[in-house]
Amino acid sequence: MGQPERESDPRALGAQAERDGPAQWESAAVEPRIVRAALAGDQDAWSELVHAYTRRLYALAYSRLRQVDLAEEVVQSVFATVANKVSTGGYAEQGQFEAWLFRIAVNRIRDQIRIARRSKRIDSPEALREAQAEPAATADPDSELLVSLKAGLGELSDKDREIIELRHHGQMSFKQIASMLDEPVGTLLARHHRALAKLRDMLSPSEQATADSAARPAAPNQRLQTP
Amino acid sequence: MTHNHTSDPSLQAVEHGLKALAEADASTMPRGLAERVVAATETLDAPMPVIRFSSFQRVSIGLAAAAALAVLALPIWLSKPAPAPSPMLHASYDADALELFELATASLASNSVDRFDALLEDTQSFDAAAEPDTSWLEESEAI
Repeated sequence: MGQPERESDPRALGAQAERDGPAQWESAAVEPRIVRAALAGDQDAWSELVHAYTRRLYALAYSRLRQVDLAEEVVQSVFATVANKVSTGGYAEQGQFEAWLFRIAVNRIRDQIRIARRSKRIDSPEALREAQAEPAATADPDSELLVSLKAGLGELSDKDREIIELRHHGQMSFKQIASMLDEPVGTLLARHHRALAKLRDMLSPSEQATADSAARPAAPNQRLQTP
Repeated sequence: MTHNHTSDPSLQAVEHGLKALAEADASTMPRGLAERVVAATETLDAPMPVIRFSSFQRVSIGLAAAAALAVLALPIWLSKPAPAPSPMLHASYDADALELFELATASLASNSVDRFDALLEDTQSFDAAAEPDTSWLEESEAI
Protein backbone atom coordinates (compact mmCIF):
# COMPACT_ATOMS: atom_id res chain seq x y z
CA MET A 1 0.00 0.00 0.00
CA GLY A 2 1.49 3.32 -0.99
CA GLN A 3 1.78 6.30 1.27
CA PRO A 4 -1.54 8.12 1.18
CA GLU A 5 -1.65 11.82 0.31
CA ARG A 6 -2.06 14.11 3.27
CA GLU A 7 -2.82 17.72 3.77
CA SER A 8 -1.14 18.62 7.02
CA ASP A 9 -0.33 22.23 6.15
CA PRO A 10 -2.57 24.42 8.28
CA ARG A 11 -2.55 27.04 5.52
CA ALA A 12 -4.38 24.61 3.29
CA LEU A 13 -7.15 24.20 5.82
CA GLY A 14 -9.27 26.99 4.49
CA ALA A 15 -8.98 25.75 0.94
CA GLN A 16 -9.67 22.20 2.09
CA ALA A 17 -12.76 23.32 3.97
CA GLU A 18 -13.90 25.17 0.87
CA ARG A 19 -13.43 22.09 -1.29
CA ASP A 20 -15.05 19.73 1.19
CA GLY A 21 -17.86 22.11 1.93
CA PRO A 22 -19.82 22.00 5.13
CA ALA A 23 -21.66 18.83 4.15
CA GLN A 24 -18.58 16.65 4.61
CA TRP A 25 -17.40 18.00 7.90
CA GLU A 26 -20.51 19.20 9.63
CA SER A 27 -22.00 15.95 10.80
CA ALA A 28 -25.15 15.26 8.91
CA ALA A 29 -27.11 12.78 10.99
CA VAL A 30 -27.20 9.46 9.22
CA GLU A 31 -30.76 8.44 8.60
CA PRO A 32 -31.94 5.55 10.76
CA ARG A 33 -33.05 3.61 7.69
CA ILE A 34 -29.48 3.76 6.34
CA VAL A 35 -28.15 2.47 9.64
CA ARG A 36 -30.73 -0.32 9.71
CA ALA A 37 -30.05 -1.28 6.08
CA ALA A 38 -26.28 -1.25 6.64
CA LEU A 39 -26.56 -3.39 9.74
CA ALA A 40 -28.85 -5.79 7.85
CA GLY A 41 -26.14 -6.40 5.26
CA ASP A 42 -26.87 -3.84 2.53
CA GLN A 43 -23.41 -3.07 1.09
CA ASP A 44 -24.39 0.30 -0.37
CA ALA A 45 -25.84 1.44 2.93
CA TRP A 46 -22.76 0.14 4.74
CA SER A 47 -20.53 2.12 2.40
CA GLU A 48 -22.62 5.23 3.03
CA LEU A 49 -22.40 4.69 6.76
CA VAL A 50 -18.62 4.27 6.69
CA HIS A 51 -18.22 7.43 4.57
CA ALA A 52 -20.48 9.39 6.92
CA TYR A 53 -18.51 8.58 10.05
CA THR A 54 -14.93 8.02 8.92
CA ARG A 55 -13.91 11.69 8.97
CA ARG A 56 -15.34 12.36 12.41
CA LEU A 57 -13.83 9.22 13.88
CA TYR A 58 -10.48 9.99 12.29
CA ALA A 59 -10.49 13.57 13.61
CA LEU A 60 -11.26 12.30 17.10
CA ALA A 61 -8.50 9.72 16.96
CA TYR A 62 -5.94 12.06 15.39
CA SER A 63 -6.62 14.80 17.94
CA ARG A 64 -5.57 12.46 20.69
CA LEU A 65 -2.94 10.29 19.05
CA ARG A 66 -1.34 12.96 16.80
CA GLN A 67 -0.17 10.27 14.40
CA VAL A 68 -1.84 9.59 11.07
CA ASP A 69 -1.09 5.87 11.00
CA LEU A 70 -2.39 5.31 14.53
CA ALA A 71 -5.54 7.31 13.84
CA GLU A 72 -6.13 5.36 10.64
CA GLU A 73 -5.62 2.12 12.53
CA VAL A 74 -8.22 3.16 15.09
CA VAL A 75 -10.78 3.94 12.38
CA GLN A 76 -10.17 0.60 10.64
CA SER A 77 -10.41 -1.22 13.95
CA VAL A 78 -13.65 0.52 14.94
CA PHE A 79 -15.45 -0.42 11.72
CA ALA A 80 -14.06 -3.96 11.82
CA THR A 81 -15.43 -4.31 15.35
CA VAL A 82 -18.82 -2.96 14.27
CA ALA A 83 -19.00 -5.32 11.28
CA ASN A 84 -17.94 -8.24 13.44
CA LYS A 85 -20.40 -7.47 16.23
CA VAL A 86 -23.25 -7.01 13.81
CA SER A 87 -22.49 -10.21 11.90
CA THR A 88 -22.51 -12.23 15.10
CA GLY A 89 -25.71 -10.65 16.42
CA GLY A 90 -23.87 -8.73 19.13
CA TYR A 91 -25.70 -5.49 18.42
CA ALA A 92 -29.35 -4.66 17.92
CA GLU A 93 -30.13 -1.22 16.51
CA GLN A 94 -32.23 0.80 18.94
CA GLY A 95 -31.39 4.28 17.76
CA GLN A 96 -28.08 4.42 19.65
CA PHE A 97 -25.76 3.48 16.81
CA GLU A 98 -23.73 6.69 16.86
CA ALA A 99 -23.15 6.56 20.60
CA TRP A 100 -22.15 2.90 20.30
CA LEU A 101 -19.79 3.65 17.42
CA PHE A 102 -18.05 6.45 19.29
CA ARG A 103 -17.86 4.39 22.48
CA ILE A 104 -15.92 1.76 20.54
CA ALA A 105 -13.72 4.51 19.11
CA VAL A 106 -13.01 6.00 22.54
CA ASN A 107 -12.08 2.57 23.86
CA ARG A 108 -9.74 1.96 20.92
CA ILE A 109 -8.13 5.37 21.41
CA ARG A 110 -7.64 4.67 25.12
CA ASP A 111 -6.00 1.36 24.20
CA GLN A 112 -3.66 3.09 21.78
CA ILE A 113 -2.78 5.74 24.35
CA ARG A 114 -1.98 3.06 26.89
CA ILE A 115 0.26 1.26 24.40
CA ALA A 116 1.89 4.46 23.20
CA ARG A 117 2.50 5.79 26.71
CA ARG A 118 4.32 2.61 27.50
CA SER A 119 6.61 3.32 24.57
CA LYS A 120 6.46 7.12 25.19
CA ARG A 121 5.22 8.01 21.73
CA ILE A 122 2.44 10.38 22.79
CA ASP A 123 2.41 13.37 25.11
CA SER A 124 6.14 13.16 25.64
CA PRO A 125 7.92 16.54 25.82
CA GLU A 126 9.62 15.77 22.48
CA ALA A 127 6.33 15.01 20.77
CA LEU A 128 4.76 18.17 22.18
CA ARG A 129 7.69 20.36 21.08
CA GLU A 130 7.52 18.79 17.63
CA ALA A 131 3.79 19.49 17.40
CA GLN A 132 4.33 23.07 18.48
CA ALA A 133 7.30 23.74 16.25
CA GLU A 134 5.73 22.45 13.05
CA PRO A 135 3.09 25.07 12.27
CA ALA A 136 4.80 27.91 14.13
CA ALA A 137 7.13 28.32 11.17
CA THR A 138 4.22 29.65 9.14
CA ALA A 139 3.86 32.65 11.54
CA ASP A 140 0.13 32.62 10.84
CA PRO A 141 -1.92 33.91 13.83
CA ASP A 142 -4.57 31.28 13.17
CA SER A 143 -1.93 28.56 13.17
CA GLU A 144 -0.47 29.89 16.40
CA LEU A 145 -3.93 29.77 17.94
CA LEU A 146 -4.37 26.17 16.81
CA VAL A 147 -0.97 25.20 18.20
CA SER A 148 -1.81 26.84 21.53
CA LEU A 149 -5.17 25.10 21.64
CA LYS A 150 -3.49 21.80 20.82
CA ALA A 151 -1.01 22.33 23.62
CA GLY A 152 -3.85 23.44 25.90
CA LEU A 153 -5.74 20.23 25.23
CA GLY A 154 -2.67 18.34 26.37
CA GLU A 155 -2.82 20.18 29.68
CA LEU A 156 -6.42 19.17 30.38
CA SER A 157 -7.29 16.07 32.38
CA ASP A 158 -8.08 12.99 30.30
CA LYS A 159 -11.76 13.25 31.15
CA ASP A 160 -12.07 16.94 30.21
CA ARG A 161 -10.10 16.41 27.05
CA GLU A 162 -12.33 13.52 26.07
CA ILE A 163 -15.44 15.67 26.47
CA ILE A 164 -13.96 18.50 24.43
CA GLU A 165 -12.82 16.16 21.66
CA LEU A 166 -16.07 14.20 21.52
CA ARG A 167 -17.92 17.49 21.26
CA HIS A 168 -15.73 19.29 18.72
CA HIS A 169 -13.95 16.55 16.80
CA GLY A 170 -16.61 13.87 17.12
CA GLN A 171 -19.40 16.40 16.57
CA MET A 172 -21.56 14.65 19.12
CA SER A 173 -24.42 16.23 21.01
CA PHE A 174 -24.10 16.69 24.77
CA LYS A 175 -26.93 14.22 25.23
CA GLN A 176 -25.05 11.57 23.26
CA ILE A 177 -21.82 12.23 25.15
CA ALA A 178 -23.66 12.07 28.47
CA SER A 179 -25.21 8.76 27.51
CA MET A 180 -21.87 7.45 26.30
CA LEU A 181 -19.90 8.47 29.38
CA ASP A 182 -22.78 7.60 31.69
CA GLU A 183 -22.95 11.05 33.25
CA PRO A 184 -25.84 13.50 33.71
CA VAL A 185 -26.09 16.11 30.97
CA GLY A 186 -25.84 18.91 33.54
CA THR A 187 -22.57 17.56 34.89
CA LEU A 188 -21.24 17.20 31.40
CA LEU A 189 -22.17 20.77 30.45
CA ALA A 190 -20.45 22.07 33.57
CA ARG A 191 -17.30 20.08 32.81
CA HIS A 192 -17.31 21.31 29.22
CA HIS A 193 -17.69 24.90 30.38
CA ARG A 194 -14.84 24.55 32.87
CA ALA A 195 -12.62 22.93 30.23
CA LEU A 196 -13.30 25.80 27.82
CA ALA A 197 -12.44 28.30 30.54
CA LYS A 198 -9.17 26.47 31.24
CA LEU A 199 -8.28 26.56 27.55
CA ARG A 200 -9.10 30.25 27.35
CA ASP A 201 -6.89 30.98 30.33
CA MET A 202 -4.02 29.14 28.65
CA LEU A 203 -4.18 31.36 25.56
CA SER A 204 -2.10 34.49 25.42
CA PRO A 205 -3.97 37.82 25.08
CA SER A 206 -3.04 38.05 21.39
CA GLU A 207 -4.30 34.53 20.74
CA GLN A 208 -7.50 35.30 22.58
CA ALA A 209 -7.94 38.33 20.37
CA THR A 210 -7.37 36.22 17.27
CA ALA A 211 -9.93 33.68 18.45
CA ASP A 212 -12.33 36.42 19.36
CA SER A 213 -12.08 38.12 15.99
CA ALA A 214 -12.44 34.80 14.20
CA ALA A 215 -15.52 33.95 16.22
CA ARG A 216 -17.18 37.34 15.73
CA PRO A 217 -19.41 37.41 12.66
CA ALA A 218 -18.51 39.92 10.02
CA ALA A 219 -20.36 43.22 10.18
CA PRO A 220 -23.18 43.56 7.62
CA ASN A 221 -21.43 46.43 5.80
CA GLN A 222 -18.27 44.29 5.53
CA ARG A 223 -20.23 41.42 4.05
CA LEU A 224 -21.81 43.66 1.49
CA GLN A 225 -18.47 45.04 0.33
CA THR A 226 -17.52 43.99 -3.14
CA PRO A 227 -13.90 43.54 -4.17
CA MET B 1 -24.00 20.53 14.86
CA THR B 2 -21.63 22.36 17.14
CA HIS B 3 -23.70 25.00 18.84
CA ASN B 4 -22.48 27.56 21.27
CA HIS B 5 -23.96 26.86 24.65
CA THR B 6 -22.28 29.73 26.38
CA SER B 7 -23.01 33.41 26.31
CA ASP B 8 -19.44 34.31 27.24
CA PRO B 9 -17.83 35.69 24.05
CA SER B 10 -14.36 34.59 25.14
CA LEU B 11 -15.55 31.01 25.55
CA GLN B 12 -17.35 31.22 22.24
CA ALA B 13 -14.05 32.24 20.72
CA VAL B 14 -12.36 29.20 22.24
CA GLU B 15 -15.12 27.00 20.84
CA HIS B 16 -14.58 28.56 17.45
CA GLY B 17 -10.87 27.85 17.74
CA LEU B 18 -11.60 24.25 18.68
CA LYS B 19 -13.79 23.88 15.64
CA ALA B 20 -10.95 25.12 13.47
CA LEU B 21 -8.60 22.72 15.22
CA ALA B 22 -11.01 19.83 14.58
CA GLU B 23 -11.12 20.78 10.92
CA ALA B 24 -7.34 20.93 10.83
CA ASP B 25 -7.06 17.49 12.42
CA ALA B 26 -9.67 16.02 10.08
CA SER B 27 -7.82 17.44 7.09
CA THR B 28 -4.84 15.19 7.84
CA MET B 29 -6.96 12.17 7.02
CA PRO B 30 -5.35 10.07 4.32
CA ARG B 31 -7.28 10.07 1.08
CA GLY B 32 -9.33 6.96 0.38
CA LEU B 33 -9.49 5.88 4.02
CA ALA B 34 -13.24 5.31 3.89
CA GLU B 35 -12.89 3.26 0.71
CA ARG B 36 -10.19 1.15 2.33
CA VAL B 37 -12.39 0.61 5.37
CA VAL B 38 -15.30 -0.50 3.16
CA ALA B 39 -13.04 -2.84 1.22
CA ALA B 40 -11.60 -4.32 4.40
CA THR B 41 -14.97 -4.90 6.03
CA GLU B 42 -16.52 -6.38 2.89
CA THR B 43 -14.49 -9.52 3.49
CA LEU B 44 -16.21 -10.03 6.82
CA ASP B 45 -19.32 -12.18 6.98
CA ALA B 46 -22.57 -10.58 6.00
CA PRO B 47 -24.58 -9.54 9.01
CA MET B 48 -27.01 -12.12 10.24
CA PRO B 49 -30.55 -11.07 11.09
CA VAL B 50 -31.00 -10.78 14.80
CA ILE B 51 -34.11 -12.53 16.09
CA ARG B 52 -35.32 -11.45 19.47
CA PHE B 53 -38.07 -13.19 21.46
CA SER B 54 -40.30 -11.89 24.18
CA SER B 55 -40.35 -13.61 27.57
CA PHE B 56 -43.65 -15.29 26.74
CA GLN B 57 -42.25 -16.60 23.46
CA ARG B 58 -39.16 -17.90 25.22
CA VAL B 59 -41.25 -19.77 27.79
CA SER B 60 -43.50 -21.20 25.06
CA ILE B 61 -40.53 -22.36 23.00
CA GLY B 62 -38.94 -23.91 26.08
CA LEU B 63 -42.09 -25.82 26.99
CA ALA B 64 -42.59 -27.02 23.41
CA ALA B 65 -38.99 -28.22 23.27
CA ALA B 66 -39.36 -30.06 26.59
CA ALA B 67 -42.60 -31.72 25.44
CA ALA B 68 -41.04 -32.82 22.16
CA LEU B 69 -38.08 -34.25 24.01
CA ALA B 70 -40.37 -36.14 26.37
CA VAL B 71 -42.37 -37.64 23.47
CA LEU B 72 -39.19 -38.75 21.77
CA ALA B 73 -37.75 -40.23 24.94
CA LEU B 74 -40.94 -42.07 26.01
CA PRO B 75 -40.57 -45.20 23.80
CA ILE B 76 -36.97 -45.59 24.86
CA TRP B 77 -37.93 -45.25 28.49
CA LEU B 78 -40.80 -47.74 28.17
CA SER B 79 -38.69 -50.40 26.43
CA LYS B 80 -36.04 -50.23 29.07
CA PRO B 81 -35.90 -53.23 31.51
CA ALA B 82 -36.56 -52.70 35.18
CA PRO B 83 -33.55 -51.19 36.76
CA ALA B 84 -31.28 -53.67 38.53
CA PRO B 85 -30.25 -52.90 42.06
CA SER B 86 -27.17 -50.98 42.42
CA PRO B 87 -24.20 -53.22 41.66
CA MET B 88 -22.39 -51.81 44.63
CA LEU B 89 -25.27 -52.57 46.96
CA HIS B 90 -25.64 -56.03 45.46
CA ALA B 91 -21.99 -56.79 45.90
CA SER B 92 -22.16 -55.56 49.43
CA TYR B 93 -25.08 -57.83 50.24
CA ASP B 94 -23.34 -60.76 48.56
CA ALA B 95 -20.22 -60.16 50.50
CA ASP B 96 -22.12 -60.05 53.78
CA ALA B 97 -24.09 -63.20 52.98
CA LEU B 98 -20.99 -65.06 51.88
CA GLU B 99 -19.14 -64.05 54.98
CA LEU B 100 -21.99 -65.21 57.20
CA PHE B 101 -22.25 -68.48 55.31
CA GLU B 102 -18.52 -69.08 55.57
CA LEU B 103 -18.56 -68.28 59.27
CA ALA B 104 -21.46 -70.61 59.88
CA THR B 105 -19.91 -73.37 57.84
CA ALA B 106 -16.60 -72.99 59.55
CA SER B 107 -18.27 -72.91 62.92
CA LEU B 108 -20.32 -75.98 62.20
CA ALA B 109 -17.35 -77.79 60.67
CA SER B 110 -15.15 -77.11 63.66
CA ASN B 111 -17.78 -77.91 66.25
CA SER B 112 -19.82 -80.58 64.57
CA VAL B 113 -18.19 -83.64 66.23
CA ASP B 114 -18.07 -82.09 69.64
CA ARG B 115 -21.58 -80.92 69.26
CA PHE B 116 -22.64 -84.33 68.14
CA ASP B 117 -20.91 -85.91 71.08
CA ALA B 118 -22.39 -83.36 73.43
CA LEU B 119 -25.76 -83.92 71.93
CA LEU B 120 -25.33 -87.64 72.28
CA GLU B 121 -24.36 -87.33 75.90
CA ASP B 122 -27.26 -85.03 76.52
CA THR B 123 -29.55 -87.52 74.89
CA GLN B 124 -28.17 -90.39 76.95
CA SER B 125 -28.40 -88.46 80.17
CA PHE B 126 -31.86 -87.43 79.15
CA ASP B 127 -32.72 -91.02 78.50
CA ALA B 128 -31.30 -92.00 81.78
CA ALA B 129 -33.07 -89.24 83.47
CA ALA B 130 -36.21 -90.00 81.62
CA GLU B 131 -36.25 -93.60 82.98
CA PRO B 132 -38.83 -93.62 85.78
CA ASP B 133 -37.59 -94.06 89.30
CA THR B 134 -39.45 -97.12 90.48
CA SER B 135 -37.60 -97.60 93.75
CA TRP B 136 -40.42 -96.14 95.72
CA LEU B 137 -42.73 -98.68 94.19
CA GLU B 138 -40.44 -101.50 95.21
CA GLU B 139 -40.21 -100.01 98.66
CA SER B 140 -43.94 -99.74 99.05
CA GLU B 141 -44.48 -103.25 97.87
CA ALA B 142 -42.04 -104.39 100.42
CA ILE B 143 -44.07 -102.68 103.13
